[in-house]
Amino acid sequence: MRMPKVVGLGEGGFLALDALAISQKAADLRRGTGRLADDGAQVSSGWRSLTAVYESPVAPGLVSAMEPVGHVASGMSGAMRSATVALEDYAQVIGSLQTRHRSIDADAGSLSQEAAASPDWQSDPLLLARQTRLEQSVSTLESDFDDAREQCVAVLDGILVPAVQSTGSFSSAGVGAWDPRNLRSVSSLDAMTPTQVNAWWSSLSPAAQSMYLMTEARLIGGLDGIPSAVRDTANRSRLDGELARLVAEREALSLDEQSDSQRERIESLEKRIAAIGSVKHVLERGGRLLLHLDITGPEPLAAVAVGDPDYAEFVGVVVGGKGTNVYEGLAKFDSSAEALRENVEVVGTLTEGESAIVAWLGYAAPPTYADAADPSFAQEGHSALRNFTQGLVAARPDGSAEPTITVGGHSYGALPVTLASQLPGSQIDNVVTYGGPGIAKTLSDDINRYWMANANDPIRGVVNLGWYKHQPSTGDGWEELTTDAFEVDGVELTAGEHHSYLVEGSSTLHNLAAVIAGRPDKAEYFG
Amino acid sequence: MDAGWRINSSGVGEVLERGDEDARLLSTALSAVSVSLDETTGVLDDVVGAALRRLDEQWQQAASSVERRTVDVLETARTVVRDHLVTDDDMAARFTSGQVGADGASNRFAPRIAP
Repeated sequence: MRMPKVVGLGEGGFLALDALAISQKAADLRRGTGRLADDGAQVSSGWRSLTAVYESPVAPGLVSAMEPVGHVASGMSGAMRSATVALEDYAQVIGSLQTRHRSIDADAGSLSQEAAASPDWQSDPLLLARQTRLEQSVSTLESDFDDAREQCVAVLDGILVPAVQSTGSFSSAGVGAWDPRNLRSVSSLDAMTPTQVNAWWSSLSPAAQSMYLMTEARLIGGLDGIPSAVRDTANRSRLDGELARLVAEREALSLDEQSDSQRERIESLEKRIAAIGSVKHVLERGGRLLLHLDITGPEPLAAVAVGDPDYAEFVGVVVGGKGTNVYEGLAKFDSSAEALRENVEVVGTLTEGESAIVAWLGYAAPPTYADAADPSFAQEGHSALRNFTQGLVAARPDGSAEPTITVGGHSYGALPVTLASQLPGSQIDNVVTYGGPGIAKTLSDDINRYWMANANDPIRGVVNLGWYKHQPSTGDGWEELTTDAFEVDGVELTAGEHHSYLVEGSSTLHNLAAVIAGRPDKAEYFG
Repeated sequence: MDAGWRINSSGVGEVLERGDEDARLLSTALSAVSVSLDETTGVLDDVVGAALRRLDEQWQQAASSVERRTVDVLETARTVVRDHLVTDDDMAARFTSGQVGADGASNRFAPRIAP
């Protein structure tokens, strides 16, 4: 005899679940999230006490930077409480379904017993109706389980857990531009443009600026875009220490038996010692800013300004040629810069401070005539010169007009100068070459270009040899200034010669000064 | 001492220590919730369990952001305060040796704490 069967009974997915375990885990989760909110609030509120012991422009930013931790922890806690409510509801429904299932199961057992006592139960409409109702109840259990599961999933999927935004500034509005994250690594500063460097520097607090000056003087001193006075401070601060270190190393080496490598090292050290001595010597002349000092490479490099280029309306940057170096040539180069500045003031009728001249020895010039045939010296130095001129513009105080920048290239220096003026972002307005062996191919149209050539200049030999393909020509917009003697306001100026183009009283010094001062009309042109 | 530039180094040290401890407690609480989420998922069916795992992923990101911010602020504060102290000590020593009065006061890099 077939017994009544309740379809689906004992097969529900909810039967495999442990409602109590779900409920307990949800309760654990609720307790954990409650603690989280408290701990997050403690982090933020405890941190506020920083203001009681530390006051600086950055302190409010540091405190406000921690505020999101408390808010977000609270939000996370709230989000997880929503989850626990959903899970507890789900556990409750599961428990209820299981209870209902047990009841149906008991009814099914009762039905079976009654059917066993009635051989023709299949003809008994009451028993058949009970069987149908039980099957409907089982079916309802399944659909209720589906509904509960769907509802729980909908709640869980609808929860958004807040997070601390990783973008934007730590500092709140009103704190100012200073952001503690502006503390930069050396490598990141090196990768910045001069404009970015200046913006970064301006954003720092005085304490942070001082910190960088103390700990990264070499970097700051050589960083284009840093104000000239700051670079000067940074570079000067290194002179005595570097000199003492080099001298100590030199003395230590001289005590030992000297190998070839030691002799090379001694030569290198002596070159650097002499370079620092030369720098110190010109700085003692007064009115100078040491804008660059690098003794780490094969050749010591430096840049010394006569006057302050950050405040000058007219800035000249003079670049030397073959054999120009810091340890032997800076003193003469600096003297030329000083004479040039005096002439600029006279020719341009400028007051002191309206002009500045930089003796730029920021590239390793070829040491010999033979090396002067090699353009690689210029190619290695030209981007540094471009960056330097960019820095001159970037470092100016807010609101001041851009200066007129003239770059003068003597001899081989004509190459890095003309190469630099071709680079994107160059801030060079005027180029003047004198005694040059050649130039870079083409300058952009917005750069005024002048050249001075002396037929008796030994460099003409290089020109005649054709070492350099490109020569300045009027066809390319170059204007030739004379190197001959001439008279200005009753004063006889001497002819410029290869090693004396910028000596006091020379025609070439006057002509270069006229261009730098924005008065090329006062220059004497060739022919 | 200039208004707006003041530091109580021992007080700052205590605040930083408390901050570290509070951050540790917060981190522990975040971890506890993570563990609890994982355990809860283990007692659920596949469908609801999958939904809870999705929530868990959000949770992990949020927890990381909170921990990262906490550590960032504490580390930054430690750096800033250290730099402030070092700078001021150093600058104080430098400027009191030879520069006094108006000379020192007018220098933009003059110390901000009394030597």
